[in-house]
Amino acid sequence: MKIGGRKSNLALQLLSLVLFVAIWQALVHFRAYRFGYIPSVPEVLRAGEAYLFSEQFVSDAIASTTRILAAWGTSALIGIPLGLMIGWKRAFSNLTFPMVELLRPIPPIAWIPAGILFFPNTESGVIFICFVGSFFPIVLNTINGVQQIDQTYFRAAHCLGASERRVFYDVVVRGAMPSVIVGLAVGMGINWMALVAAEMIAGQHGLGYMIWQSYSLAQYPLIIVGMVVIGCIGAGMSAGIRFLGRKLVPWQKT
Amino acid sequence: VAKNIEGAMTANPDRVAARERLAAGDRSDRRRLRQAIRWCETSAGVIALQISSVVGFVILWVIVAEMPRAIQIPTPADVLASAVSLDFPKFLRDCWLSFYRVGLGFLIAAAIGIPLGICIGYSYLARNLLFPTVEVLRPIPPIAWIPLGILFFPQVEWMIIFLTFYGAFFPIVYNTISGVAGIPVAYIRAGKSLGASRWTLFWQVMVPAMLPSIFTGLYIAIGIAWLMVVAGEMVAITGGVGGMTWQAYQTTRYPLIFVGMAAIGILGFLSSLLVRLLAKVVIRWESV
Repeated sequence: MKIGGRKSNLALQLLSLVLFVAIWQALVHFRAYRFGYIPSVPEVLRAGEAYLFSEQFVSDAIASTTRILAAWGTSALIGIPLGLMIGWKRAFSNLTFPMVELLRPIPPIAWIPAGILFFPNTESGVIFICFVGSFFPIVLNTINGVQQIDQTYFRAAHCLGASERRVFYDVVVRGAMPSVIVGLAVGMGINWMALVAAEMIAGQHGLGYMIWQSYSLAQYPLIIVGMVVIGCIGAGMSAGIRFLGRKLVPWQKT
Repeated sequence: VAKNIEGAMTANPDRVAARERLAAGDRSDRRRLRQAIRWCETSAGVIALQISSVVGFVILWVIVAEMPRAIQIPTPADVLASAVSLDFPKFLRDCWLSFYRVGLGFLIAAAIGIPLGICIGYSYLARNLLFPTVEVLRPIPPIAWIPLGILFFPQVEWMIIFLTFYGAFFPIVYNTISGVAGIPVAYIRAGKSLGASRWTLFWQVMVPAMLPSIFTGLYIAIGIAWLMVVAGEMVAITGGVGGMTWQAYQTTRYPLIFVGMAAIGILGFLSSLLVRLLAKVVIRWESV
């Protein structure tokens, strides 16, 4: 017995989405409360069709995706080894973890003014802000992953005469992998949040900037188009990470 | 080449002695290293390492700040001076304003998200009828709602509270759902066979079993709510610590930016601590 059952009903799920759109359209149509200010569904569809087939869309999407990948890749490149070492070696952890803990509570968005000011150009500032967003989830999940490795694995490896390097590759890295992938996925989510904020406030192109620009120019339907596009790319990337995770960690059921 | 190797292999008394001396030195080096590592594990060593970590951070900051660049980064001393000369009552009002916005959005998110999560986790109809919509809305980053929020809400204040609500909502819903899914079936069977009514089963068995997961959600949610309040305040520039930081940027009082960042960090940390303390009280049986 499973609580609530495991069955799912495709028809009901579709109905859910149809109802969502219908309620949105009805609220806008009948101008309930302040919904008159919100663009209606046909307006959004029309704006979306125009935008998705324009060159603007391609350049915005490429700009945002490049920033995300640069920031995410950098934070993975620094964060994973750092997390592995912090989780593995007590002395290293005491030496570096307080520094991480000191900076962690500052949300990436609070770095926006400093990021814009102190980086030579906006591009690197925006990437830095996104980097701050994904760095901490990746580090913390990696540490957590190492610390949750069964101690008997370490003992077994030592008993079988494994060198430190072998212990690192075969026990620490592999043991932490499932948790690292969770960190990468969470980091990607926060990356998008930070990116949209940074582009809205500072960017000169990109999807976040496009949303803000359409607001300033009173092209309200485009705002919703931008939100949907960001949601789709973000969801696609998260799905990609989960897929990669399943390939990399086939022994883990996720 | 073979001859060379053979030559190297043949024992030369001087060389052997030198090698042994080296090995002995090596051994004592290793012993010293091992002692050093052991010292790092003692409580004095741990404290020393942690202090040197923080000191190292400050030194690193000073080095970066001293590097010549177009706009000089404030040094820790500048930031401290700026913090001391702060208009304190106004600063406290800003802190309280941000805290209030986070708190209100967070509470509304909990009040809607927890029941919704329970419904989705528990009921077939809710899972199929409500969950797809939640799932479709989730990938849209809350910050992308800012322009629409400004359009929709009559006051910016409401927009910011909506943002904190929206940011906190999804972690709460998702963790509540996984809390319901994680209730051991044995608990429910045990409750049923002991004759519990549906009401008792819900309040005495299911709720305690899913509380740890709900608190995980609340803990994540308060962090994201802080993220949102800062974003909202920066865009709308209406008081609060985020607004203060942004104003410092616009009026080129750069040390103040770092004071604002530190304030945001400390307030965020304190509110997370608050949730954690609440969890300690409510779910005493769980080690949090």
